[in-house]
Amino acid sequence: MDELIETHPGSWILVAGPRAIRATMLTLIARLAERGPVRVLDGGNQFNAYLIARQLRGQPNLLSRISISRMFTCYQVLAALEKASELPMPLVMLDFLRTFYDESVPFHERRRLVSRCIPHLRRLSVMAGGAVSIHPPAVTSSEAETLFAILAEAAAERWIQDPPAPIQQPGRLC
Amino acid sequence: MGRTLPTASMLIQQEEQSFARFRRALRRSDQVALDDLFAAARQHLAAAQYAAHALPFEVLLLAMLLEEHKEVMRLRQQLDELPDASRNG
Amino acid sequence: MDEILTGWLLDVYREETSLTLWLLDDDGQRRRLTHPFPAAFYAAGPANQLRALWRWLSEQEIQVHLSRMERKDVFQGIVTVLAVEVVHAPQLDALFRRAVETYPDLTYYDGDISISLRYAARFGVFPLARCQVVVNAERVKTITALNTPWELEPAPVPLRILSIEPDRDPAQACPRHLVIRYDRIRYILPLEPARAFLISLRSTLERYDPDLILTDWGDTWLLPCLLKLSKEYNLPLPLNRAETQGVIEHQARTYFSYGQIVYKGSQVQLRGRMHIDRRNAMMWSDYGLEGVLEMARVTALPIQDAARLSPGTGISSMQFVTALRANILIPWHKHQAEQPKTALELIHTDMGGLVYQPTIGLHKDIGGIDFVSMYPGIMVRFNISPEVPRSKAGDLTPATGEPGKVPSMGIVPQTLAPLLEKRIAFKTALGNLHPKDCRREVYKARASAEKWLLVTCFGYLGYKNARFGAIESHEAVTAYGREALLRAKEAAEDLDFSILHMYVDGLWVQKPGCSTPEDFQALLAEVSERTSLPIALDGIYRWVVFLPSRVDERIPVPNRYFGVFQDGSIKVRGIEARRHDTPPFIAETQMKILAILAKAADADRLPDFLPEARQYIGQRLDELAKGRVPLAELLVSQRLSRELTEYSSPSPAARAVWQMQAEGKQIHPGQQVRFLYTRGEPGVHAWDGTESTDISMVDSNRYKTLLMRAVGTIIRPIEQHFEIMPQHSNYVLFPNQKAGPVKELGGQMPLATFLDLRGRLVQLH
Repeated sequence: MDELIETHPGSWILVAGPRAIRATMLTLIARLAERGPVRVLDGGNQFNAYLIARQLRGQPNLLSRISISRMFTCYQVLAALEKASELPMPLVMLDFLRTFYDESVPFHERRRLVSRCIPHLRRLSVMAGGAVSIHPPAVTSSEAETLFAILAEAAAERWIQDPPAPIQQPGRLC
Repeated sequence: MGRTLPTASMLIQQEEQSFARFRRALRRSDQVALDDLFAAARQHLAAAQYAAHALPFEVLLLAMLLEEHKEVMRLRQQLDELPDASRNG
Repeated sequence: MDEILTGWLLDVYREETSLTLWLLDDDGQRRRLTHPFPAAFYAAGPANQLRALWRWLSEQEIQVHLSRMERKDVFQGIVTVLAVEVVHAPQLDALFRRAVETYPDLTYYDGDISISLRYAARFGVFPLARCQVVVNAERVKTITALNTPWELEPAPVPLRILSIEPDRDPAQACPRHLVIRYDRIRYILPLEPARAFLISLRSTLERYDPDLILTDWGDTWLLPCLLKLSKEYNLPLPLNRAETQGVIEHQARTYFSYGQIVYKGSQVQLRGRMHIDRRNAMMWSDYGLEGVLEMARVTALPIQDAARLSPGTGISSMQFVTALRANILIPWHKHQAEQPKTALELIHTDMGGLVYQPTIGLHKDIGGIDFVSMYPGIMVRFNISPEVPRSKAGDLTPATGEPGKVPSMGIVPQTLAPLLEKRIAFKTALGNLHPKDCRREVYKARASAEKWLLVTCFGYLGYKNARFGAIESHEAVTAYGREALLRAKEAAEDLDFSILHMYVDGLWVQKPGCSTPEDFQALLAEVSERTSLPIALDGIYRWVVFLPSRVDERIPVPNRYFGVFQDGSIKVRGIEARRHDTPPFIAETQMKILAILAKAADADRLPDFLPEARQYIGQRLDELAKGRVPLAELLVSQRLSRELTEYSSPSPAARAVWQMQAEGKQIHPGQQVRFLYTRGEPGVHAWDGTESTDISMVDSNRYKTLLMRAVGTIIRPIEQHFEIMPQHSNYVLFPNQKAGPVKELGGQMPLATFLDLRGRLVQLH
């Protein structure tokens, strides 16, 4: 999968899969940084700069080409996208939906916020393209599926990796 | 708002794990020595954290080397304290 | 006709259109007064949407004054807002909710601030404030506070306190009677027959007319039970003093806080009186009622809320009051994400305090020095707040050092400064009070409330939903903290001290010949000079033992130590006795051993006290073996950290919960589970809500193992230091240790030699 993901100016791709695809996204960031500046928005504490540095073989100084901003609530995600201006660098958005799984915010509100994010993803991908990763929540829900569908519909391309079937653990209670 | 990056302690643990295959193939006596090196590096977690080096493994190696050099200095000092006769065997 | 009253403000809460306040006046009357006052919220956004909101608001039934104004948003600077002043503050909540539903895309401010905080901010009053009130027909015309929350010793409030406690823990067994106490009266009231019980309790409530009802398990059992009985027998109980409202019941809930799962039991709050459940009150065992009242004074939260505080609520309430008074907007939702930084910058900023590995083993004559409330101190001293631009960390010039150039104090330090000052004032006062002075306990409790607020303020700054939190501020605090600790290290080394341990805001230092407080003064002065932060001598240890990791004996772990100060007092961190899941029997044994060792006048005499310690251990083992330890002393208490179904292999706690569930008892993540280790399957016995067990079922071997482990933590390092052969062969110190060099080393030569060697190594540098 690493080799296939490619960002294209004018659109953004959706990368959906289990949390393990984080490595793919970090590799993507490293490859983009080798070519030039890259903008990363992290919605799920995923940006492990050390793993990226390791992939920038011998050139850890390229880390200064990566601009990173972290978000911890869904309001912050929308605010960060709204505030960002169009720049000639690709956008990588990590774990986009994580903050939108927070059930302390009413679902209609989360859905409204996700929808408001979409035009900004498009806007920020115009000059150099973008990639947005999402993971399923710990406990699947119809709400999560609705949010996923909103994003999937808006994406120009979709990379979807199914999570492995859960292994039945015999020692588990209940 | 949580920490995004692993702590120095987690980094050392990850580096140690990444050498699990290397360690397995070593002789038992060499495994013991290798474990000692990692344990020695753990003496400098705070400094490793503060260093904020993009490639933590480099800091880890330096920390190991530091402890090794301290050991050399200690042995040298012990040697200096020995009477001349015993040094000649 | 106007009447002028002076007295203490007991409580404020909302009624339909006005605010009710209870005043305890100087004649001893409890006066229920009403006070109508306006409150505002604000909206910002695109002009056309604001105009639509304006039109919508002017069509609503709720009376408002609308205006356009400029206000300060901490993150955005001056913004133009639509100000919505609701004429009757209690109607604000409903109007705000509807506005948000109708115009969700606007940015709102000040919408969800409780009416009691608004009242406190507007009139400068706070719970238990001494007030002068001008009233007309029980309606407040003006209210003025005659004191501030920052007085160390406010005039005592003559509260009438009624204490009610059941004879046993209702989770364990059904209580049979209540113990009722007030003034000097104490009597036992049987719960059966119920009618007689209710009549008697009612007459006590009517006769004594308490201001504060202090209970055990009142939130979870007693009050819900009383309400039910009262309904069943149709005998009204005057739990409330006010008749306009019912008793307020809040359901139990589980939530995440600081990455931890927390369970909050149900709550019952009263109107006109106050109810505090000692078992559900935050930090009760630490600071008691005095601390709760102090918490209410400084946070301006109503006493019943202050008693049941959750982390962050205290500090956020204080910030809200500061903001309301300073006309700073309180964002409804925080919108600001992190300012973009480079990945390289992230590596430099995304870290906490510096935590060193101590030099393992026993050390003599160690000075423990600590920065005083380091993180809050940094926030105040260096003016760390989201709206204050930051210079590079590493420059420790105090923010107040350059008048004119420095922006005025930000909202975070502005809120903290008086709190920090008060805590330091209490500390100083305590240092000067005679040990037998009766004010000591009160001061300690109050200082402890301040301490708790100061401890939580740093975490709160980094909390995602904190309205005035910012990740940059949070990172700046730790950056200053690291710089200060390193400067302290350098100062100590320049003065020829060796450093045994450093932990975020504290250092353990040693220098031959330094054994009195005066010997450390020069160092304290030097550190203070280099860091601009106050630092104090926590104490001089006669001896202290830094412990290795439980898993690997070669690896020292921070903040796991025990030691004895020169005055004989004991300090322990990270050992079994401090852990919440250690059975009381074992914790007590460990602390008693330390108490025996603390009798040694200096470290060299420690071996003289080992025989007494060993004799005591023998006695405790004997008690255990003969089944003489009360079961409650053997209880293990653990918090259920997740849903039962999420445990892949059932821990003892999970097995205990399973038993409770089989008995039809509900338990939620975040709740405590208490159980005993028992013989055979399933190896545990749940304590609450299951049939009682007898002592013969207890797995005494398991307790013996736990006991010897706790004993070994203390005794073994001392035996090693003095190269004494262990007397107890069955210490279980490193249960998880893999075969490795240390074990071999430990087997072939006394471990103490190895430790000495390590000690010398460290002294080389």
